[in-house]
Amino acid sequence: MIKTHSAKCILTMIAAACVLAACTSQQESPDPVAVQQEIAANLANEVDLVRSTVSDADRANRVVGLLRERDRVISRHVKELVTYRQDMAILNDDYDAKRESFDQLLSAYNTEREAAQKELLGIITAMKKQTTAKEWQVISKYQLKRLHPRQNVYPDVKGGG
Amino acid sequence: MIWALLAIFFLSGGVSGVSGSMLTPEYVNQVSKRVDTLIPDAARASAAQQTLSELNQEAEKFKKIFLDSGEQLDKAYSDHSDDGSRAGRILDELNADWAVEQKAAIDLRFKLRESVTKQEWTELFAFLE
Repeated sequence: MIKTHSAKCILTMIAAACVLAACTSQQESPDPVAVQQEIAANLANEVDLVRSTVSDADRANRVVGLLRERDRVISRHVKELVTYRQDMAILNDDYDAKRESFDQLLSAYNTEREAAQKELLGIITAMKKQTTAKEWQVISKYQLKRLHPRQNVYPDVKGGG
Repeated sequence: MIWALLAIFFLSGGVSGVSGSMLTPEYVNQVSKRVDTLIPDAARASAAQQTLSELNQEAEKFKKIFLDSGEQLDKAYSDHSDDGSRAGRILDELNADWAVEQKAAIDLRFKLRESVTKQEWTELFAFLE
């Protein structure tokens, strides 16, 4: 039950981030609820696709576990990102802010971001190892088509760097 | 999945969206539109516009780098034989480029400050509140 709730929270966070993204990435604002539903559906379909594509049930379970691990990394990073962007906005607003303060904030955030990138690269590599080339072709094609950043990710949060 | 990798980069102030980073062309354009109305002194307004123009060039430069890297990352992501080293190299390069971009943007932020008073600065960025 707790796991289910946690998974829903993560899904909601990812969907929310993507909705914020979509709202600012398109000239005509889409319906946020509809976009959120679409993203949630795409994430759910991703799991179904893995289960129907990966021929061995144990391997499929491991890949699904990796997808959930990916989602956890992303949701954690989204929280850190929002904090960072808020901090950056506050700093930029401060006319008297020191150069060192910017450097420190960027350095800390870059360290976290690059660590998250490495974590995700590790998860991707692990997924490839759990799949055949043919299976991965199907899964990656879906992910690039339905969960691609060009369509999904532009945050509407004040701040950033 | 590559969307997540790019998201982490993108969300960090890459190409689009409203942000306080001063790194996106869209953001720079929004600030630029406010300069002439908020800064009454023509010489200072001109200097500010020049700085913003430089900032815009930096943002556009990184935008192109970012978009180009997206295609490479897509290929690395789809490539079952890539153990992460190829994608890692692309991201390392992107991170390095972004670091350069960040430094330039902060330099220009302080250059912009030289031609803007404290009160004008507050009003200049208030639109993002």
